[in-house]
Amino acid sequence: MTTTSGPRHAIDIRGLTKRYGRRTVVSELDITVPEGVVAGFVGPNGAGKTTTLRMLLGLVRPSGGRGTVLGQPLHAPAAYLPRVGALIESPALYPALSGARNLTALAALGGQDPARVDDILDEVGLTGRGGDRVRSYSLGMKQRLAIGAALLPDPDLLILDEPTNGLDPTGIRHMRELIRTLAAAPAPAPASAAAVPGGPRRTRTVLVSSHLLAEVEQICDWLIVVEGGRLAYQGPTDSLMATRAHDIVLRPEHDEDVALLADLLAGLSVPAVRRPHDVVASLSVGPADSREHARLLAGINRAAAASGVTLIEMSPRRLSLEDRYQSLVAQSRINAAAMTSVHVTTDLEMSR
Amino acid sequence: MNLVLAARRSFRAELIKLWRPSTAVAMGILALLSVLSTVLVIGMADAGGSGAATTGRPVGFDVTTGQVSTAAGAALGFTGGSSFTGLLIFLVFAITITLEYSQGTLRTLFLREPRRLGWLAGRMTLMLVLVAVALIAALVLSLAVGLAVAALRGIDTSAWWSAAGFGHLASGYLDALVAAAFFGVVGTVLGLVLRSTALTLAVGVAWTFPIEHIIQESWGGSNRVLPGLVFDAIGQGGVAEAGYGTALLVGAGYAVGAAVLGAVALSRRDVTA
Repeated sequence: MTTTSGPRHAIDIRGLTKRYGRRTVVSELDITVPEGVVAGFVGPNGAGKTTTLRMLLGLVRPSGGRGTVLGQPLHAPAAYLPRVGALIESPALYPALSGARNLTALAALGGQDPARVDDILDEVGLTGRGGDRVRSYSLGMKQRLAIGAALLPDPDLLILDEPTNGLDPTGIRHMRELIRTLAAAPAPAPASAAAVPGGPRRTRTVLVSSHLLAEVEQICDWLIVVEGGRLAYQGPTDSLMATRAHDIVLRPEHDEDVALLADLLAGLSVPAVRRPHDVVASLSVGPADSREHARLLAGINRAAAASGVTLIEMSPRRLSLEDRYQSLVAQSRINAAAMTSVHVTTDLEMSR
Repeated sequence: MNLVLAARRSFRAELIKLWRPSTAVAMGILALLSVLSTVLVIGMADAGGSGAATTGRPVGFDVTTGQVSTAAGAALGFTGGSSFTGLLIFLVFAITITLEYSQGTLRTLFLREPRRLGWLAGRMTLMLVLVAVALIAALVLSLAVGLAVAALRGIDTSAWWSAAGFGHLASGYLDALVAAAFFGVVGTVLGLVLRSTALTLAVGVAWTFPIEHIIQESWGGSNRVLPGLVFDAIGQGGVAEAGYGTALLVGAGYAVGAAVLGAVALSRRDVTA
């Protein structure tokens, strides 16, 4: 267990690297996931998400890196996996066995109480279908059963890799609700702690990898963005979204005034982007500096009115996570290209 | 200690998985192959010829009715089918391990039990226990069918019920079990190394059966060297070209070597399936 007095981390990894021959799939990745958060793990295809998760779960041996998972060393997965539940990629279960039999076998393997199987089937919404063979399940049911398997150890850390993959909109909604429920419910305290009145209750941490940024935005309060095997962003989701709160949407009453408004802003040295029906202005200060922010907005409003332009909307531009994600990925690629360029230059200079 | 605990848990988990009709069917097929062997060996025994009497040991179906009527005759049909049962056990062990890769269930298992060698030990133990049970059933059925076929052919089987007869049955059972275990180990290890059902079956079956038998045609020493033939010789209690002791020693060498290779492959390689 972590013994430091600061914020405790479910995952605290430094320099995680995986190389296959000369190809580096994950490069010097630092991951910190505070306890109790629902963390989103996002990145384009081939960014190294699944490889990273497999390394955290002891399925793939890291080429480099150190750190802890649930306070135990990364290189000793047998010490922490009994407290981890995971669904990696597609649900992998025995199709010829019933759902209940699959869970019972896995419980026996993990040393968990098989009596929990009925409760878990109920928790993932498969009551009544537990006796049916898995081959008769829909993909959504298989996904839920696989999550049930992940819940067998009452995990402190739940790792879900693309849990909504292949699901229809209804299935995605069900999965989102299930993840929210699992994240909200604290992991049961160990028997020794439960025996003490008011004893500690463990906090469950959830790490979800997904392509569906809208889903991640809705359920995750912590975000890790990777691109090309490197870290592009890590921190609270709110912080990522707040970093662009300086952008303001200005909408004139008439669309033909958009050009005039853009010229006006240029005259005020306010960077702006014209759009068909409005202008997005990037102010030099954000709402955190409320007086200066208000003064700037008032100035723009007065200048527009003086030029005969009536503004019908002055609102903060709400960026989606997808917008931020795209810019993060683009920035990460620029950084990676720059690093490659530096390396090439250095190599050339050294070879001279 | 942790590995022992992992092996025990794995044994229980595999038992839950395999406690189903298809397992009984596979065990039944194994018993039927022994019965088929018994019918062929005793039904086709040469009533007048010398058969393999010149070598002192039966070779394949080269058996006389005189040999069938001895105390050793009780186990002749059962041990004569060791090639069949060996092939079946090789296939079953290879297919079940490679299915764990192709279905992706290996990663599900290792998430619950990361001590991979303990998991493999428990799984292998259970499968060999099932093979042992199936071989007992095969032996009993084989004996019953052997009695019936011998009666039909008018072969005297009174010597089968002697102490020596039961001794031959016991040693025949143990030989078949050891050979089956070796076939099972090699099938599992080949599956662990190749991780593909089609490739494992292609390589394993092609090598162990046609290729080895082609080599056997032109090289007499092959029975003492090639793994499939060596395991076969163990199952038959030794053959003319490879005595039991030699076959057991070489077979054990192959099995231990394969087990080490399998342990290294399983514990060192990434699980990407």
